[in-house]
Amino acid sequence: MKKVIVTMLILVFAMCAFAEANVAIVFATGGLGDKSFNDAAMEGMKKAKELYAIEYDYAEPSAITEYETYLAQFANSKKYDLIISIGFDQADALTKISKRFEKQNFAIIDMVVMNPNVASYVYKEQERGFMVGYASALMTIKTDDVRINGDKVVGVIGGMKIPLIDANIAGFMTGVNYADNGVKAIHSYVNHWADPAKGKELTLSMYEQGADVVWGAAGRSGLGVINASKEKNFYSIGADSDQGYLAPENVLTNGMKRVDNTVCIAIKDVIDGKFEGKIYSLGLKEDALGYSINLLPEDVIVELEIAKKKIIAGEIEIPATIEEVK
Amino acid sequence: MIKILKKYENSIYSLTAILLAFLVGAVLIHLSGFSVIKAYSTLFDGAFGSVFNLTQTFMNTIPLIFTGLAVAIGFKSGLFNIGGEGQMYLGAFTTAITAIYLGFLPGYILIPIALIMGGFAGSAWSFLPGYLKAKTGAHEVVTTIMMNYIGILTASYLLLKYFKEEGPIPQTVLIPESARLPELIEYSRLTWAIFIAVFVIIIIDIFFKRTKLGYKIQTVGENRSAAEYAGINSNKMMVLSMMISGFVAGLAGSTIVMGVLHRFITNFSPGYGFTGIAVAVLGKNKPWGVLFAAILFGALQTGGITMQLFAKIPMDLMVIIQGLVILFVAAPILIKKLLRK
Repeated sequence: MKKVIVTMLILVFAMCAFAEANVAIVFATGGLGDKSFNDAAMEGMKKAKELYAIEYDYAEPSAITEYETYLAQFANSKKYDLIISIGFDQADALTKISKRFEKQNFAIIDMVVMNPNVASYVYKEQERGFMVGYASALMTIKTDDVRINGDKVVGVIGGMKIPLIDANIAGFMTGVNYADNGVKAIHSYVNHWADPAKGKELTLSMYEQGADVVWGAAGRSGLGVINASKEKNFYSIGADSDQGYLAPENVLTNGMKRVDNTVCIAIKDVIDGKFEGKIYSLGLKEDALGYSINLLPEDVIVELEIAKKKIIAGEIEIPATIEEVK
Repeated sequence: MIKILKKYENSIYSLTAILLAFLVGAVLIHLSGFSVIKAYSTLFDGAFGSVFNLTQTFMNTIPLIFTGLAVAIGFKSGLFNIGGEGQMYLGAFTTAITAIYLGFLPGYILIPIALIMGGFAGSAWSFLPGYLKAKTGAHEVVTTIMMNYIGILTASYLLLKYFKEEGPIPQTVLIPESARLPELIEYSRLTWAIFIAVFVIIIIDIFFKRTKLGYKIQTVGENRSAAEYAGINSNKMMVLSMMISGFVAGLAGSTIVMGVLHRFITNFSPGYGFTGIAVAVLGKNKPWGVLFAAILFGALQTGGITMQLFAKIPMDLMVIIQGLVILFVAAPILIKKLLRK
């Protein structure tokens, strides 16, 4: 009898140990239903709940001034093993709150906060650039597709000339060069995150120069890239989330940023007791970046998967600046 | 007894309206499947339950005092200034830029200058609708609403074009330490701005009760033709009251920049300018009434956060209660009529 009780007690303890993590998440002001970062992060929370049996609470601030209040309320309750901030504009609030609650673990996604109790998750942007660049180069030499012209040119349009975007462009160019089939990559910048009209104009001018696959790494300006491809019937590539629904016949693939997986990774680190207040650079290996299937043909996917394995194994080096691209 | 009742008539109606709103709110919370007691107790606790919660309530109250006061001032001359949001954005922007570029000045000079510049920016923005109303009769409701968009977008444009901090975020750099309003309690973000707000209430109250100019403005609001007949230049008074109104709305932005955000960020406001209209209505356009109405709305906002976090009741129910308060504030006219029959 005693043995049974002891076994049961051990079981109970074990159960407690398994369902241990409480996680709180503070979304960006767009709130749930944004079809972007917040929704993806929520997916990640749900996934983590299934995988690791965590409990979670979330907050949807309606104003930037509320970030600090929510973060402080969560931290003050001392109930959570991890508090996650979504959205770069939480950096100010998190910097202050993480200093105030030194024993609380925090994580921020797609932004860096340099405090010992904050894990910052950022991305090796050049890796997804490589994948879509390689895919473009493999596509543009096809001959049996009306959306493909005779020229061996592909393009990428950045939002602004900042290191993050240039890493994407450098990856894209490296990917194109890796295909080694004489395809040329051209690039330009919109100089605005939310100017679809100019994005479209630049895309059409690339199209005039012979580009038939164009990637828009330009925030909302990228919508113009997709629009242009729909109008003239060539290929475009979306960014961050699956934008295929915008032009099902023209969006070839998407340079995906898997915020859901990133959230899971952050939570798993805490559960495994591996939390560290440092910068994590995630990429293909962690499935935090990637590409979506959409219109990609089977043979291209096979090639992409081979390249992906090589990148993960460290066999392909991808520079993060355009100057370093050979 | 009746005299006392008469004197406090407005307050009594407002309080009744608030009570009624909470009663109907209780029914809604119950119907939505939540515990009313838990909802209201976490709401109250979240707003007033601890020193920290109290500071957060007052922090949320400050911008509403300014924007509420701005609407109330407009009403005094019979104008409906819905442009508080745009005036506030320009106030915030101007204060941030002033503080950054005059950062070499000591705090005791810089803080007043940055505040006043923010106020003037709001004034400048409300001058135009006032002027158009006086000269052409263009309805201020239409022009102020339109000016909101122009104001918010102008501030964003100037920010992105000339003053943006390096990096992906549309914001200015941090304003210097000397331009930041000191916190009353560490980490609370409740700053001296609360005293500035109360000070402005006192000034506006005295202005309308004790000064000739304030009286003239009110006369125009009560009866424009009578005012003209008495020799008051009603056009001038309307422009003036719009400018004072804009000044106060600008201060809402200034105090947020100097007390809470410490920089200008696009889209920082959850609609303080518009909530200010509700605050003015509940406060019956009286300066001190605005104070109490702003505290109520600030408390609902702050308590709503705790309610959402710890009682898992959606924030939207708080917004509904805010709406009900306004509805019932408008209703006493009905109640009055019923009582008098």
